[in-house]
Amino acid sequence: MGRWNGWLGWLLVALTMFASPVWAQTTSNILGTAEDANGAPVAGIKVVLGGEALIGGARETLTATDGSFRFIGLLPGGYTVTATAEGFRTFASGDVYLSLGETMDLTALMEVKTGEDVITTTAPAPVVDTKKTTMGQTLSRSELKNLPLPRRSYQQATRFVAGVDPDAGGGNPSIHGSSTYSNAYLVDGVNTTDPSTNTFSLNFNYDAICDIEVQTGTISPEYGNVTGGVINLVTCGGSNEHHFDTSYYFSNKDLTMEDHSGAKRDASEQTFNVNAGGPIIKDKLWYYASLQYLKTQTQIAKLPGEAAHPPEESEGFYWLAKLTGAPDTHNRFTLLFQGDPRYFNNTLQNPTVAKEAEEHQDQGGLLASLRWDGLFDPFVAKVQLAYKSSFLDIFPQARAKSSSAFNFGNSLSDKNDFGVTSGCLVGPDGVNYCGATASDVQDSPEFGNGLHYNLDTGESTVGDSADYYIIRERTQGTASLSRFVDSVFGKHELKAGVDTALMSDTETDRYPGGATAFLSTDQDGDGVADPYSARIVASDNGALKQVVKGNVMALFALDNWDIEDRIRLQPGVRIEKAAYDNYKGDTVLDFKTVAPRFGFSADAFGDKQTRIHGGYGQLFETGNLTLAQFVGTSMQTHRAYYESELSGDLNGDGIISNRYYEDPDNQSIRGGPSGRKVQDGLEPMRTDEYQVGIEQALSDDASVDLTYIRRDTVNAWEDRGLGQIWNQAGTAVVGSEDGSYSQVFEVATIKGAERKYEAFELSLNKQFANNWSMAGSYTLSWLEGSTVELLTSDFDNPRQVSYGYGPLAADHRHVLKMQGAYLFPVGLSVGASYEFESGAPYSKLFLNDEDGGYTNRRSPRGTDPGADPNDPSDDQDLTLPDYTNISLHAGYSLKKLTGQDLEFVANINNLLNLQAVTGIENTDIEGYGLPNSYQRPFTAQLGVTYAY
Amino acid sequence: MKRRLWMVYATLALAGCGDSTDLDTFYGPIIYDGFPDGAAGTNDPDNGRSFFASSAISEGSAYDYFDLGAASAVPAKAYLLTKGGTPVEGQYLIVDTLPDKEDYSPLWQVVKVEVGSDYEANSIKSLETLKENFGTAKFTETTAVTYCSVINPDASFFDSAANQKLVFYGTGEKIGNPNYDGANSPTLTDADAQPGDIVLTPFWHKRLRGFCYNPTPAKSWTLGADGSITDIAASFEQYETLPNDETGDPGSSWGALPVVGAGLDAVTLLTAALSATGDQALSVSAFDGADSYELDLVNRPVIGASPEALVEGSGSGI
Repeated sequence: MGRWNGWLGWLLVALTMFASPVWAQTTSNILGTAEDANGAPVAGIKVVLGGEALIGGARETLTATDGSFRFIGLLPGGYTVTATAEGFRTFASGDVYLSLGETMDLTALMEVKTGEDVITTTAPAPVVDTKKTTMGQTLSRSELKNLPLPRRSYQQATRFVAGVDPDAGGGNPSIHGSSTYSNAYLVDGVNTTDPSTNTFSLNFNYDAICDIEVQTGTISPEYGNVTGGVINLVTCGGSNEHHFDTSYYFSNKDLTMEDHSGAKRDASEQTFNVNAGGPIIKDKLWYYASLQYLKTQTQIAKLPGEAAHPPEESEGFYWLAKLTGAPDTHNRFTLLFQGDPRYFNNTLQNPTVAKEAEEHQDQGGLLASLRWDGLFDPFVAKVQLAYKSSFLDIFPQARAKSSSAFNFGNSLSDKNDFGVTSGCLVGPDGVNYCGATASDVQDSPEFGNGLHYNLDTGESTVGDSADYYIIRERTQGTASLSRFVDSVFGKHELKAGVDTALMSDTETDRYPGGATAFLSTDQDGDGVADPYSARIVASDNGALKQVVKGNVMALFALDNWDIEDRIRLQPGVRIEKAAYDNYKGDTVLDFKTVAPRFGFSADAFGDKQTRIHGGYGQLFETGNLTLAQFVGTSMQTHRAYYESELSGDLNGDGIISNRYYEDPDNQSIRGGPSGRKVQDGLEPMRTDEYQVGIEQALSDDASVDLTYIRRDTVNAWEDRGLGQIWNQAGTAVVGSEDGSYSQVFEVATIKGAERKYEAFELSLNKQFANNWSMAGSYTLSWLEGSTVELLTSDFDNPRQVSYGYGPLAADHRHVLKMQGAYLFPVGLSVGASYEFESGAPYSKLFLNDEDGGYTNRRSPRGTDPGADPNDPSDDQDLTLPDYTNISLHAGYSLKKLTGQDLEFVANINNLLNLQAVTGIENTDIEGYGLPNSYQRPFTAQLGVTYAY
Repeated sequence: MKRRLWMVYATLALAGCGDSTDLDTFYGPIIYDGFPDGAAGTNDPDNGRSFFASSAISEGSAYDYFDLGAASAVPAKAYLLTKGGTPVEGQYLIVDTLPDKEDYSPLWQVVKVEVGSDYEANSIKSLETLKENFGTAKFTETTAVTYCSVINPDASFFDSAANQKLVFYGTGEKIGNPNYDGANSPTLTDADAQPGDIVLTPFWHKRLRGFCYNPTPAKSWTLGADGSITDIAASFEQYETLPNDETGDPGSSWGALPVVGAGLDAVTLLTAALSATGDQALSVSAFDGADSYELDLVNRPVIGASPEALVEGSGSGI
């Protein structure tokens, strides 16, 4: 990315003095003006708001002396505005649609009454929203309906938004260079972000989502613990009319093409949705309910020489129930429940593992929310209480037991259990138990019988109970109060609020007080399978069940300040206090942050054709429960060997015992008491964001925007290894700071644990008009740094740190996205999407003799050291191939023919059946440089929808 | 007005494109998977040893010695950064060759490079960047020659059966104390080096840090106009036999060690250290290849506490 010009930074800072962040709310507003034919304001006009999204009855107001009027605290949805006065013709807006957080600027043209009574304005809202300070996009259900997606999920839908890399982390996107754990996920204003991993924590009924708001920059002070983006789902709701819709989609092996191996994957998917909404009491109480049944079968690609992977199977039941009540026009209540249970079988798809030994996974959760909105113009109040839980149950877990007399600092139980085993469990019987993650707590009543593998005998038994169970909870409350103020150096919406949450993560059998045995297939790194060695990691917490907790309290304030109807300024600040306790109850993280945020949007020439916008924001991540889990436990590592007929009498006792022994000659033990700790004065992760841009209308329904955004992230959540002295290359430990050879991992503020992102983003938006719509973006970006995820090994080895800086995995230099739809008058709709990403960087990794893993670099991140590791001039940049995907959607509605809203749908993903390589073996083993994953092949999906 | 706005924005955009660096921000260590055959120094990183020490017996006394191998007598170039003619404090020498290259020699001709007054030590780590910043006009080739044999930095111990000596990095970095007993310090730094221990000299090679060993840091020689190194033979203490060997014959397998003067195509340097008497002073013998007996520690180990132990092929000597 090159160097950062200092003067540019200062100029941007200066610009942001006039600036502010996102307009991010859970409701929307209409701010209007009544004008006569000469553009003069007209006072005393009666303005009435109606529409299907309005509960509590029609709202009325009179225009002020400057002709202004407003309707505030509106739910996203469709509305109508009418204005009437004696002597004037009635103004009617026609249907207008308000997106989440939108502030619609509406002009009611009041003409002197001559003959015709009503003027209906059907022109769309101005294509350039000069009140918008948000960077990002709101995707409406109507837009998404005609666009193809690889899977019908909100996670996939974010791929249409500029600056979003949707495939960075299993449904957790990287947004403008962020890590995949740096986003916030909300449902109707409820924070549903996983408190441990800061990733999404729920799946959702796709047909029950009416809007998906994706904020990719200038995050509002209402949101904390986020340095990436905010993904806010707006659920559909009831109305005064009964609505019912249903859909069924399916795909199977016959609707796919061969993948790169020439084989068809044994994959299928069926989804059935049913949704209903309507009035229980007209204008007073509405209901909405949704159910999605999902059944899938997926199969990962077969690589050369591999047997076919048995497919993973799953069933899911996503449900939602919502009540919206408004006893009058001033009070509105919303009660929401949502659940997403899903059951997976054969999750690892290991071709060499017996099916009964494979892993099952149950997951899901519950979301409950009660919200009150008080609409007392000029005040708007909101109080929301919510509870979110999610669980994960992985079973059966293989267990291993041995009579080997290990003793790890008194941490291993007297039963000589290996405790949890993970990795490849290759036993003396030659059976590959690869993929087994095992726990050895067989005497505990809290656990059933998993797969029990006796390392002494090679026998295995299979049970059916859960072994590894996680439940994560977040109980939260938010409250805010807005006050609209007119005529104090312009107009203001002053808003302040409080945001609180209690969080917990209960994990059972994570570290059962025993030991963890990583049984390597190639411990000596010679490239040949070596089943008779082991690396043992023991933890000292002795707990079968760990509970870590956190709490957050935040205050925020912002001002939506409109000056002369030309400039919107948004100064704001978020003050946050967050604390996290580890499983012992010790507070290990305690942060207090003050985050100023500013944004602006200016109607450059007063014609609503050109908008200049920008902002500066300081974003903090104030912790997560994974960090709390990490701090306080400790690990010790011993090496061991397995003595067998194959290995011979390794310990020289004249007996071949067929058991494991600790290797007395290899005492490079890692870990120890307090092996994981937190640095005193630890700083929270922080991102400084700068952005400036300009949007220009091209026509009444199309605009183009060019924005520059820069994000500097420091203090990334990283730990560093202490206590050991490494050789120069960082491949082996040659000494110890205290003689114990213990390695301590310390969560610390590490200079250099940083990321820098810079992008020029060109976006085109053509609103739906004349039967078609289109949107697209081209992003030219640079992303470099030394860390991208949570608690990586990049700083564990001090000798390796210098190699860690370079282009990060989400550094796609060029990204082009285009999507659009055309609706033919006969009921046929066609949509298409195009994605191009230039290849992402990757690094060649070498064996670290100390930990037996391929964690070492010999050249900077993103490169191969070439033939001569001591000559950087022959380093080679490593990038994956470019990626292109074209997908199609087609639908045919019988509504025009039959009057029934019945539509047949076909979606095609990867129309050209391109076989782009999406992953390459990057470790220094045989097979280095060969592809190990590919683009998903051509897949068709057929469906039918019906709405009433 | 619109045009002005666009121009401002375009200026911002161009400014964001940034510039380039003049300094070497990246650094890393020199890494050898296998130390080059025939190069100076030895390679046993698995056991943490950089130098194999062997023992020899002469006149009833044991000697530890290690072989630094044969190398070209045509010196390579080492770049010494100076400010006003004075070496930049803390700046490592910069070289551009290593033992696996044809132009490598443990003998280095010093090339002075005058840098600016605001230069920060070690912000340049490669000859390439040195040239980019200062150009060859600032380079002054001197006639000074010094000896420093590049060793494998992954190995840090000078392992001896008789007495474990240590290898220090010469950078202030810690090494583990192999003699840690719970009461003394588990780590040691350069300041803890004892006579007989080895203190390495760090250098930069193409932004990578390496280490070399100079047994006689104070000694240097002059490069003649014909490229020959003058006075080198006289500068070393030269032994046809090991010290204290009154007979001049250290043993049946030892043989004579002819000494040849400067200006040769190759030199082989043998460093010997007296351990049995506690005299740790280092001495060097230089000899050519014609009649030399190159110590091969793998195939011709020399071990033992008595002459009777000097049997070819017996044991490792470590």
